[in-house]
Amino acid sequence: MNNLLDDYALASPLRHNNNWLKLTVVAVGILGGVSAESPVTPLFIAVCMGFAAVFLAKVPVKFYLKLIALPLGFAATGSIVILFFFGSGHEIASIDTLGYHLAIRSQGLNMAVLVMARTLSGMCCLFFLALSTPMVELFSVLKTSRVPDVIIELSMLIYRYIFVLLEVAVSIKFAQTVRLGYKDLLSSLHSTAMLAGTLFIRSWEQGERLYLAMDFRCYDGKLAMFSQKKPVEVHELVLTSLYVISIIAISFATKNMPMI
Amino acid sequence: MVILETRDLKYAYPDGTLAVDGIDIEIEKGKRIAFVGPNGSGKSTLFLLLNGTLKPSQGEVLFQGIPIKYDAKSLREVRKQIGIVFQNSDDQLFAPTVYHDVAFGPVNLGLPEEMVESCVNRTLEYLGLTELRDKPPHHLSSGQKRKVAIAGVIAMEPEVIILDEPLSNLDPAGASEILELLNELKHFGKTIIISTHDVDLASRWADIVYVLNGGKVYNRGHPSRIFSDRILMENTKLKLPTIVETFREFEARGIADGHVPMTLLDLVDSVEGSYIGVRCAVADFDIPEGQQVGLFIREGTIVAVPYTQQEAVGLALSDAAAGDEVLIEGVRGSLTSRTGSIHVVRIPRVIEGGSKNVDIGDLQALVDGATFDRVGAMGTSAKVTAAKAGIHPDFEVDVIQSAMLSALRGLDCLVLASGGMAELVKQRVDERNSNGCRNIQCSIEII
Repeated sequence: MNNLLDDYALASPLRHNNNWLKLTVVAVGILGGVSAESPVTPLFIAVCMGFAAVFLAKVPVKFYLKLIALPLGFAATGSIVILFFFGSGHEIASIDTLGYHLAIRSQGLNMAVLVMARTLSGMCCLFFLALSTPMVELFSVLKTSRVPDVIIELSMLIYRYIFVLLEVAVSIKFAQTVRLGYKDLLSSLHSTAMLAGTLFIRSWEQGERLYLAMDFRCYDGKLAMFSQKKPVEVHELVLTSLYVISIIAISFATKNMPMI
Repeated sequence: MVILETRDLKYAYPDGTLAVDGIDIEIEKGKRIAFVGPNGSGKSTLFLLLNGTLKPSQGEVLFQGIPIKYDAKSLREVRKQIGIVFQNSDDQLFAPTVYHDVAFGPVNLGLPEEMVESCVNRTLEYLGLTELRDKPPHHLSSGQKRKVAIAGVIAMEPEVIILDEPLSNLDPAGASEILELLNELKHFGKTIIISTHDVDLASRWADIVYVLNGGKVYNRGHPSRIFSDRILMENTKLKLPTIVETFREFEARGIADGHVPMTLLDLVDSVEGSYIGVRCAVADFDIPEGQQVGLFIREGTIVAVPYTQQEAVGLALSDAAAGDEVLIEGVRGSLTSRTGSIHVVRIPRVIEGGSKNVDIGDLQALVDGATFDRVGAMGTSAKVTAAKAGIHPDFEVDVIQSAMLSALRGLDCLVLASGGMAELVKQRVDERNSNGCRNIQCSIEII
């Protein structure tokens, strides 16, 4: 099982860098991208984050492109709608089909490009975080941000058992498949229902065993949540500042730039 | 000293099934105990009773002579002293990383953060898991998961460690590592209780075996008594250990005799007197069964020659110790060939600084200088040190037995042993020597 985002994050060399630094980078990226008025800033952010993910976090390029392609597909459909049905301004191109006159106007085009760029930058930022910071590290971030312990502990347990139950689910599904459980639509529905039911019972049992396991080790309402100290290195700080300053600069420079 | 004891323990599940039906056990501190029995014989239920998870319907459990009380505070104390390792590690590993999981117990015991950290790091180092510290459990192999589960329990420093089927679902290498670990823990005075179906494991590992059947203790005693009893084994749906079966077959053919062996070494000892005869029978000549042969000693090796040809060949053979001629019927017992020696080097334990306090150069010089045929490493720090010095041990599990077996074959062995294990090697060899077996030289060096 080496295809989950979390697995890449766990193997990533950026895993051991300061979590807050990474979060700052991502937060600045998202805010900068969303608040930008021209597509240049978001595109710059996307390129930076993509670069960081591939070269610093060592994510395979092919995998990364696949990852980006998915949300971009959604964004593209939205943008096409905006392109044809939004805004005013002079007509750039038009198609006549089935008696309808579909026109692309300048404002619509600008908006569509901006939406695409913002989506791309936002996704690149989030993927950078997801690919460089495993859940395990985020728990200590949550802890320092004073999220109630109950919530953190529950999420720690849930996180762990996602993988246990995933394994169970995969093996049940396999067992069903080899006995032709998914041969047509009807049997697929039936098998899926059975899978869900069994998983529910399994997780229930797992919960009881978990309770025992915790009790055996003197559970007293505490889960360990110490985070290692990860000092921010000078070159990291310089790089981050450069990045933030460039975003602000580009943002201002392109603020009133006529788009197209 | 009896550490754990039950008196007329009974437990019925809510549906009325009597899972444990009047069990009396007495477990002494520092012993290795194996509970064997078929499925549904009450082993798991008994374990849950021993650490107070289940409350007995009748009878009582005594820890260090005091009956367990079932209020939350007393139970915590009991759980701290009696650790349980589950059969399925995934049930036990619930934290997102190895570190968090091992830290769970110490944190709940209320240790301050720095102490938890040092305790966890020490435990991880002790089990050789330091590399896996930040990994999530789903990235570990079954053997590693089992080790982490054990680490989580021993981080609480319990007196008694109970393991339910500790070797199930492990590959042979993983299984021997766990077994070695259990022996190491025993060596540090922990009482270890396991449940198993594996009679081979129970027979060679345990000091005391309890046979459970139908919720009752069917029999108890030293493995050599329990596992040599064919009828007892059949009645409890267990089988004889392979070593015992082999011995029985040898015995029926008149090759082996003496006590029923439990370990490979015992088995070898039981045929020691006669194997030379066996080997002789397949020497240069095609000798039909039952034919009388003459034995000659040629350059330290005994050669068998059919009685009829004896004279002719005898002439050719009789150079060194001419005339040393015996009839095969007379050959039994101690024909000694050269016995190898065992040289033990004591490596400091992890707690004493481990390999950091060893002059690697000295060690390499020792290995290069002397001619050792076999090298063994015993205990975590010894293994780490061996790896550092670029020594590849020939045996890392069952080291004492393997070394003695090699020595009996005339090979010289070097054993790197962590801490007090060095003395243990010497002690075991001396014990054997005093039993009237062939003497094996054993020396200890401290570096």
